[in-house]
Amino acid sequence: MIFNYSKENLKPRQARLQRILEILPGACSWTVLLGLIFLSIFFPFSAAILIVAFYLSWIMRILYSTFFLVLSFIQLDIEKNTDWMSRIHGIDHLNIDLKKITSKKLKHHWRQYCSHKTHIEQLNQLLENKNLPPSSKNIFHLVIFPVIKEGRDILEPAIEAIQCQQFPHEQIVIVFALEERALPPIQKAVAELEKKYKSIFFECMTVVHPAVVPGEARVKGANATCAAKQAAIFFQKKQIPFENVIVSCFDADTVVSPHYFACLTYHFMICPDRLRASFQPIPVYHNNIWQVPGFARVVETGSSFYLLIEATNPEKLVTFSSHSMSFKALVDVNYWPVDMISDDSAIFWKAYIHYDGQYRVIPMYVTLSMDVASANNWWETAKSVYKQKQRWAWGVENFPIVVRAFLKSKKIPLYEKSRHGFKLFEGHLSWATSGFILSIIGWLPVHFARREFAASVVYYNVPDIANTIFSLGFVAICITIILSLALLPKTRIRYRWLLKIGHAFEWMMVPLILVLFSALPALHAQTRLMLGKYLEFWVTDKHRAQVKPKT
Amino acid sequence: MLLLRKIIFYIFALIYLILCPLIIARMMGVVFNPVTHHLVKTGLVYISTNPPDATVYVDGRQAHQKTPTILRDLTPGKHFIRIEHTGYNDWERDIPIVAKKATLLANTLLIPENWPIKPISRQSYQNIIITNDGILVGINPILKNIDIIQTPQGLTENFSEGSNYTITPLFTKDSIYKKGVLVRLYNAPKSPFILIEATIKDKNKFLWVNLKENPPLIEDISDFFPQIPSRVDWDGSDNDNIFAFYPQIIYRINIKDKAIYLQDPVKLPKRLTFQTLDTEAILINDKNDLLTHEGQWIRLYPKQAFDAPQVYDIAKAKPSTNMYFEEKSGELFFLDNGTGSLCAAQILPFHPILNIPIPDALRFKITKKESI
Repeated sequence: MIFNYSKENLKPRQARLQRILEILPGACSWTVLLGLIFLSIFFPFSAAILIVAFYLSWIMRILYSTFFLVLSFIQLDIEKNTDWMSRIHGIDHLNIDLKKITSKKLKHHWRQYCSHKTHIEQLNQLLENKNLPPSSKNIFHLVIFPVIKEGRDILEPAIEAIQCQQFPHEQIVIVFALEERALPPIQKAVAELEKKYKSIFFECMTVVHPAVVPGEARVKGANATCAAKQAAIFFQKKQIPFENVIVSCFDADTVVSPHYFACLTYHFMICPDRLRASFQPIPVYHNNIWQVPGFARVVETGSSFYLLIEATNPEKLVTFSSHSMSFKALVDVNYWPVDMISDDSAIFWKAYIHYDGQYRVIPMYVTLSMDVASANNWWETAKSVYKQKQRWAWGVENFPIVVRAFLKSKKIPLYEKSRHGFKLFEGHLSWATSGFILSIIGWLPVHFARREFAASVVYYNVPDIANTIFSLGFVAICITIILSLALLPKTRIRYRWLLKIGHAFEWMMVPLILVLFSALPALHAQTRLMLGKYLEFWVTDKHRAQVKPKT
Repeated sequence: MLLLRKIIFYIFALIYLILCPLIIARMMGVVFNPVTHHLVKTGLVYISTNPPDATVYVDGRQAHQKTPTILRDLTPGKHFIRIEHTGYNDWERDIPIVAKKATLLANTLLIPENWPIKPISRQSYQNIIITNDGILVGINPILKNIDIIQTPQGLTENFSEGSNYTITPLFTKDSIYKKGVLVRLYNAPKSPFILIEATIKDKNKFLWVNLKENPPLIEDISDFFPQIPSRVDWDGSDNDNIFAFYPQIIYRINIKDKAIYLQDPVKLPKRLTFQTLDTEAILINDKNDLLTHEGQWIRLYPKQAFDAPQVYDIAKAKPSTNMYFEEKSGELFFLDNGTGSLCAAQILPFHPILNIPIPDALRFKITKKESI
């Protein structure tokens, strides 16, 4: 479907609808919060019933998510030592390889067995589908690094990580998408890196994005789009078909694991609809994990876990942060939105709508490491983390556009539209409200109890039920703590065990974090959208000491 | 994984759909009666005791938790509740339970089998007063027999738990006032000062005593009283100005400036005076339990719900003397009827369960005399 994925240049009727849909999430969140406060004061019985029903749904959701978090973590562990390059070569010679590996008897670890079984299933699916991939020798990777204020200390580890890839460097193209308004030292650093790595990769180039382009906002998507367009010209010149190119748009601090591109190539090749798919790795925030305050560590580990949980549900998975996709699809959908902040998720919706729902995200059980938002001191870091979360929550800007597209689309099945629309709406609603309800509003009926309510059975039973539910929630937290400790990088640092124990206790801050770094920024973002005070792109502060993590 | 996810999702959704109404019904006190096979609306009773950790029996069955506790799933109607605590009398009542309602037996006062009373002094006193800083003053007609009784931490520390207390004469052996005879002693609420009117060598003296100092600072301010006033009073928060009442006039005496002013009556300290029975009553906790001093007896009136208050005799006290109850230590100070010595009785446990301090508005005192 041809659809202008933007809030700009709309016809009056569409503009009105856009505005109403922009108001809707914020209005609903405020209605839920204020409504519950009102009920807690004036109708505590009703409020207590609603809150207990919410608590119960929350604990079910937590236990459900924890279950899949564990499964996903196991999956990540299973694929940790997979030899992706040999699998890629196997797909290149599919018929021979399938016979060879199906006859192969595995006497090794259960992890190998599981990984092998999944591989065979995927190979069979590929054969059944008959949409065979190009040879791995003809597959190229385009890696775009948008740069505005990231120095060499941030950029070089990212490039070095690509240099350490198992996948041939001759098939990797690096593009620094440099903003024209970047300061001279940054421009100089980029020029030095380009010079240093030009001979190592198939190409390493810098594309300068002009400071002012009509119709563009000052967003990362505009910069990446400019770079991708130049890369498209490059591939055309080299007569490399776009179908053979996988584009990865990485944040400048993204340090990929050594087998990232091999894993990505494998998933690209094994996927029958590879040209209509994005590939989502698991982002972890380990680059500077031990250099940031405890609350920031917990917040970002929570974000990684959210993606791990989501990875088990590819039907509803939406791209997030650094990810990869078919370059052909990117060109088809006319690149990233140039006027939206949430370009990472917007590109999925753009492609999903463009291909009438025939587009999906494929989870990859491979990590890439990024920086935790940090600044010079505790308070500045808190502000930085808050702003970053607000920017993530600004993904709600997709809701009105997606709904408008769904209303227009006749080819996307109603069930799919409802499913995606509901998830998008409910996700943002619960993001902005659940933290407040769990930590504050849930206790209001008891706090504001008047004589009649205070003399009721409900008054005494609500705290009891809440305590039982929160005790179950604590079990989930304990599992999360264990997994977060297992996921931490194996960096050689002093007092590692002591730090790990400290990190375990940092999870006790979850109720506070839920409010301050989750619900509050989300509500803030929704309120801004509701009031038409659109957010401007803000580049996250990132500071890091020279420590190389193993991902 | 996708299929597994769907299966688990539907299982969780089903559990939620079943559990949610059940838990909400449970929250509202609705339970299934296995005997009648019907849903029954129940009530509950919340019991907390003073002292805590008492064993509760409902209709003869022991509750799982000691006090404070909540007894749930009680069918509407009367239930016999008994509370037991070692060293205390059993507490028994028939408590009416109403469906969906909570019955509160909060801070139920348990009565000791034996009242722990500890004599503090061997000296006999005519009366006692307490000052702002928790210092007790034992009063006698001869000035040298007036004593100050205190602990280093004040009276909030528990006398019965072995805290050291000191009894020191207000007037030392060397004092020129030691042979004086007390005429009247004035004090004001929240004031660390007392004013002693005494006859010393046939002369009337007014001594302004600062009990905050150690030893107390005694200042002769007799010059400010050319005639004997009918009453002297001051505001506890303003210890610089005292008011001398004469039949036709009121003087304000500024102790600091050593000056006498004719007082504007509007600025007089507000003091409530009662001229009623020879009864002193103190509210001792937020459940309206009363201590009264009637004649020779100090009595406890625990006001429990659903029943008439019961009366417990605690001790025989000297008639017409003050008694003082200290909230934090839970102790009552009074003069023994027989010996006249100062005694402390442990009425409530040390650090009793009081959610909030008793507000002054709730604490009432009915006393025959406003000054001694």
